[in-house]
Amino acid sequence: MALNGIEVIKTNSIITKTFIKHYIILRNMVTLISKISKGSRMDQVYLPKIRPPGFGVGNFVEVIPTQRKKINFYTHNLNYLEPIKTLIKDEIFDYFDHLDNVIITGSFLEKGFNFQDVDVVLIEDIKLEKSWEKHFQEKLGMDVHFTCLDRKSLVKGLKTDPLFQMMMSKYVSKKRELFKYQNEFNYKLLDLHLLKSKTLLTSFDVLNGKEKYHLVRNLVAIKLFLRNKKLNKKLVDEHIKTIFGSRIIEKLKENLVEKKKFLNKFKKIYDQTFDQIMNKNESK
Amino acid sequence: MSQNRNKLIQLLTGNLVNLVVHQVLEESAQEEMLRKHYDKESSVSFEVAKKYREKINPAQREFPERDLSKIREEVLKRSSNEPNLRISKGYEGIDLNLINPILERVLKELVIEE
Repeated sequence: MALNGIEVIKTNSIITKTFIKHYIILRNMVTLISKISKGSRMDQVYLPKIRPPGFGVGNFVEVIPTQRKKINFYTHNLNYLEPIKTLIKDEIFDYFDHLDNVIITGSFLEKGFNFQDVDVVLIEDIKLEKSWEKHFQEKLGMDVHFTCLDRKSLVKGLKTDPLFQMMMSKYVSKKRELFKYQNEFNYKLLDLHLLKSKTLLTSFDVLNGKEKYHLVRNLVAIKLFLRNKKLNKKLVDEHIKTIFGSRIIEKLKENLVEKKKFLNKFKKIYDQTFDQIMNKNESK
Repeated sequence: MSQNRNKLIQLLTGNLVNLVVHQVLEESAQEEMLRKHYDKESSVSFEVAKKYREKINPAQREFPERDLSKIREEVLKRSSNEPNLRISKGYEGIDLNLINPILERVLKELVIEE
């Protein structure tokens, strides 16, 4: 049914009043700014008892972030971290705010997004909880692996474990850390790590390029560790190139290595390294 | 398809060898830190072996006898070589008699053997 002139004016007036009530008056009300605090099951925002209208119990409110908490951090041998990784780092530091120190390390810190998971070392004498990994899997959609260590165990790891030393050569942490140590040779531990690389000799054909590269890197890291070198990824990669040729890393990753020639050299170095480890045992 | 199956069996075998070797060496280790490392290695190998096992048919029941004996033979050979090499280099406390029971237990756990 068509509306006459008076009805149209009345309807327009109601619409205007409703619009003013819902969109202008409510928009002009005082905004409350509050801090999110940590809870056991859920985090919360507390509102003061005396507060402006519109914030009554039972009302729905919109919570919008205004300012991110500034999280201080320290980097070691790291020049750049992509903005999106910075957000992930902040989430991790924020979650473990109560711990002595949190160290993020591993492939996550390499340039680009070619990482599979995030390695986190928690410096505190606490027990690892499965719920942490679940929390970050749900919140960030990625695998975060944790290691809990007290400072003494961490330094011990740096002294004795070439792979851990290499991993810890680049990190971002909540607090500055200074690690002073000399390499220590635990032949059984080195033997255990070296054994991983034997897989390349026994299963060359079934391994993919990335696996091959990791196994070669493992062997060369141990070899350099035995020479008392302080390890980092760059040093190890350079040494791999010196032994196997300048394009070997790309070839390994692309799985395009010539098997016979490569394995001959690899076996020779594997055997030499194994003997060196065993000699350290005998000379002990 | 059969080539893929052979590849998966080879990967499964490699992880079984790794698992058995690390469990045998773990038993010989005195240091708690080392025992933890060996244990971690063998757990990882078990999980990887489990993933490969799930991809190999028959997935729900034991392997045919020829596959089973091939796997058993290779794992026993390779997982004896490593400890033997270490015994010759002066490792102490390695019990080679553990290899068989560890392997049999794992073969059953992964439904490779009945």
